[in-house]
Amino acid sequence: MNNRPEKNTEQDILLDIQMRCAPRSRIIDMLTVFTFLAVIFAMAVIFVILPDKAFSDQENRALQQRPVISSPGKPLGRLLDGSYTADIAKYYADQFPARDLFIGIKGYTEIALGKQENNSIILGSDGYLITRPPAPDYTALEENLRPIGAFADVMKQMDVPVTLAIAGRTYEAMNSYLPVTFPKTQVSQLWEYTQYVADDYTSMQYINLLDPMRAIIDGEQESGPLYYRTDHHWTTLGAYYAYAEIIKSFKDKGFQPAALSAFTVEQVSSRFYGTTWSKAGMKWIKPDIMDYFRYEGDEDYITTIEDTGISFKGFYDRSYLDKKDKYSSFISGNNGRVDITRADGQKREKLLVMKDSFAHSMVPFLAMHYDLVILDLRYYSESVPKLVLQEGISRVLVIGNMENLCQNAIYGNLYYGADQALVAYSRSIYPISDIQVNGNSIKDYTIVYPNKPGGYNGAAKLLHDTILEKTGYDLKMETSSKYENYDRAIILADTGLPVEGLINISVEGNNLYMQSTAQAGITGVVETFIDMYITKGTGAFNFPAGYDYTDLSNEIITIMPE
Amino acid sequence: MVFSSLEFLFLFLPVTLLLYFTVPKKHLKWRNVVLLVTSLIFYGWGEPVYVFLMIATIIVDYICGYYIDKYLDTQPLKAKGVLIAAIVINLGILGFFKYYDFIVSNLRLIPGLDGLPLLHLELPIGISFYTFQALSYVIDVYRRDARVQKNVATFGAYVTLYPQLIAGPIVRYTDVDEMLRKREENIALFASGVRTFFAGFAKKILLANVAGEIWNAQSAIPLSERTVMGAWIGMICYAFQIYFDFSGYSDMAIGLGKMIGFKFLENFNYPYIARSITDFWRRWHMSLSTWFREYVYFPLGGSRCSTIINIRNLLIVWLLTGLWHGASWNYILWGLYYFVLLVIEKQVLHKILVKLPVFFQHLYALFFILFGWLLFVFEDLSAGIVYLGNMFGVGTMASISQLDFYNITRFLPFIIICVLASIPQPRRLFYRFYEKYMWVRVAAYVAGAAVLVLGLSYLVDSSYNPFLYFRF
Repeated sequence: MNNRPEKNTEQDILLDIQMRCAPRSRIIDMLTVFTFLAVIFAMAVIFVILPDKAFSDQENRALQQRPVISSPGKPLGRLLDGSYTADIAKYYADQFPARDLFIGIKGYTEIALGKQENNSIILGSDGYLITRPPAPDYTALEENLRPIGAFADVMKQMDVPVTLAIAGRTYEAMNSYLPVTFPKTQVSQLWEYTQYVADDYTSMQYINLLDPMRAIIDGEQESGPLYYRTDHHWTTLGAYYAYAEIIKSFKDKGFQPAALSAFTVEQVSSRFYGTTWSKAGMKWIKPDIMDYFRYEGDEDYITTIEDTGISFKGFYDRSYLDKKDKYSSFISGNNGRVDITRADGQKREKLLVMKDSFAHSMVPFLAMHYDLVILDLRYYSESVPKLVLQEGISRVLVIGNMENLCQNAIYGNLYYGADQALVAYSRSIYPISDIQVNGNSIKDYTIVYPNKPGGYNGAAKLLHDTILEKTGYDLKMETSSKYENYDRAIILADTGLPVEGLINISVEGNNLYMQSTAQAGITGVVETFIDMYITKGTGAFNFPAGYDYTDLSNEIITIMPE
Repeated sequence: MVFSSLEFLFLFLPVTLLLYFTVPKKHLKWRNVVLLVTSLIFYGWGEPVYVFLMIATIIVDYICGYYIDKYLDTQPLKAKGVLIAAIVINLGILGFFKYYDFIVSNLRLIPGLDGLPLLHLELPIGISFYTFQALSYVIDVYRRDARVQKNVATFGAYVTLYPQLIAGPIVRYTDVDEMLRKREENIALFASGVRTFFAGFAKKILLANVAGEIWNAQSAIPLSERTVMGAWIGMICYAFQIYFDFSGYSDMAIGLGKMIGFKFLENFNYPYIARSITDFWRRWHMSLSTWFREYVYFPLGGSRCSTIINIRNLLIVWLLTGLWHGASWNYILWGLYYFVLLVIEKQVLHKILVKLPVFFQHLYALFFILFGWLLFVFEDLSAGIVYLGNMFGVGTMASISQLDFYNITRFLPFIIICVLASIPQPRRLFYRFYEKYMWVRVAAYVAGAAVLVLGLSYLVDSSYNPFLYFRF
């Protein structure tokens, strides 16, 4: 233990340097100390006395308020689990005085350092603020595309065409505005993959909106910017071009998009600072101009926010024009369900639009051709197939921007309720008025079945309910094995002997007999009867006297109704 | 709470300074009480539960110190017993909270022991730091290097002292013994403290956080898109991150200490200008190296013994150093890596190295330091090996991609700033002019204010503000 060195000389030298070089100007020292203390004490006081801001317009989000220690039931709970102190940290960051100014200082500094980006916003040419997309999540992309495809398959059975239109992000569409050194290779892969998945679904029409937009931008054919410089959305002009692409694709209708010259451009704001501007902190970037494309009669529509029940004339909620979030003036921003109808009550074909906010500025164009039901599945959770049926939708348009589709699974539940909707649909398109046996309506018939195991009870009930649902006839039900006592009955018969074959249905007298077969049991026979004559039956089917349908083969039979 | 947070700067610090300087200078004991209380709040802010564990540590070591002192002259055997008890308790607590799951998860690989339960305890922040400080007290008292501290509040203030509580520098009791009893505060020292604090603040916010984001982005690049250049950019930025992060924290701690009259020893001395690995470890985290040297290496016999024993001593120290950094195999390997390098250097390489041009000495040192960080940063060894391969073109899609080119043009100014901040020449030059010209002093003041504003703007706009050394 006697071999320790005498003193740690390096550290002494260091300490020495530190002390010796401690600046020897007393004035500067005093100024330094004074400034430091003044700043920290002043800020401490400011935080206490300054009223809390509830909402940040710049960032479009609620700000953290002064947190409380206790939560209901747990007087010290929030202190012990650390959530109180975590909220304090958020509180200080959110309520920081002149927060926007400081964010701006950082933005300037990053650009001055040559970083070309701040907070993942790239500074492109002409003042374009372009969100740098995070790595695409191909799983999320599939979890959106495949349900949409499966949904389209369902819709096809219901004779409703489905179109999926995907909009490019500023990053892709304004590719030529990125810094020269920015790598531009990864874009195509994502779009090729989207095309590849979309090709799996023949019932779905897929429109790539990026390519035509880029053709316009790169060909410099546009009469103005197609994307905002300070916001992640497309401009109204961009939305117009997208609308034109979509409407042209509805070939069965023979629609022609309205010509650009048909619109009167109303400049509603020259001071639109969008979302990317807020995030970028590059405060020197000039604001965007926001236009509405007005046309004759565009006030003759009613926009109804179904979430709140609020409705207004036309498509624009102009109260947003006084706020920062001006883009939300298009159909009042993000809502679960919005309906657009004509004010004069005239009913037109209904287009269901499932969308993200890119669709908002396109709505005024689409409304020229269709009544609209607009859903945002991020906020709407009921069954879409059922809605299609209820609302009598004749066409579906799914429109979103690539960023949403390859980051969040939004359309995962689109298939929800499809089975019931299909059943309801097939009932609605195959109405039957009556079933007749030997010329007698089954209206007064009794369903007779033996009181024994083998599924007779259940089969009789199924038959009864189906007839009730389809024709409105509430038939009597009786248990009996004395079939010969009945005239005008549907008899689920059991002869006690195995009946060959799959299906055995016959008419004896005025009774309709269904025999339990060895293959299908009574349930199978009744279900086949329902499938053949009731569910898809059209008009009235008359079982003539002596009708005898005995299928001895093992093949599944299909008999189309007469 | 961390120093580079808004609530520290504008809530904790002003309140603490106010309370501290409200107590008259002559009542130093009461100032120490203020320090103890505020430090406990500082700790409890992030660890509301484990603060009681820390109080227990203080009480145990206070009592042990007291009895060691009492018995040391009369019954040395008893004193030794108390010392051993103190060491066992302290290391026991540290071992339980930090290493229990690591040990058990390895034991579970043995058939028959796979039923041992894991506890998933959260590591108390800074436990490795304050345990070592507490240990240094009982050992120093036992060695008569320091006087026993009879005042429990003063002793508590030593263990919990908020400037260096959670990430060092590890203060040895003998170094602050005097300051706890008597310390000078004056404007010059306070101003120096402010400057040191903001130097650290700038390192942390403006350099470490930014470098860390680059490293995160580079290491998150999917395997199919990795490039050689990208791997190197990432690794170099990680090296900058860990240096500026840790030395920035140390600077802030030293600066805060100076404001209240504590003169802590420096913790870093431009480690990246080292010319050998031995040199690097004289410059990196010096307070930890000193601690191990004083309390492990020298007691084992240090280097004044046979080569074999010396190598054994080094092995023990480096195994412990590795283990201290984390309960995971990669840290142990990292320690062994330096053990091997240091032994080779000492026995063979040293003689060759000194004859090489200085440039190659730097290159040699930086190369091995960088690979050290590779071992350090990947707790998952296989991911580390993949990354190592990437750096040499194994499993990469190209040696340089468009993205790399874009990144190099963007990050170059930042990396140049990092390099300038890692070498002593700019600072020396600055000091020379500082003493000569008044305008430089004014400019420095303005620059300091600018750093404050800039740092705040990065802080307000950023959600990425971790401290790497918190896990230790």
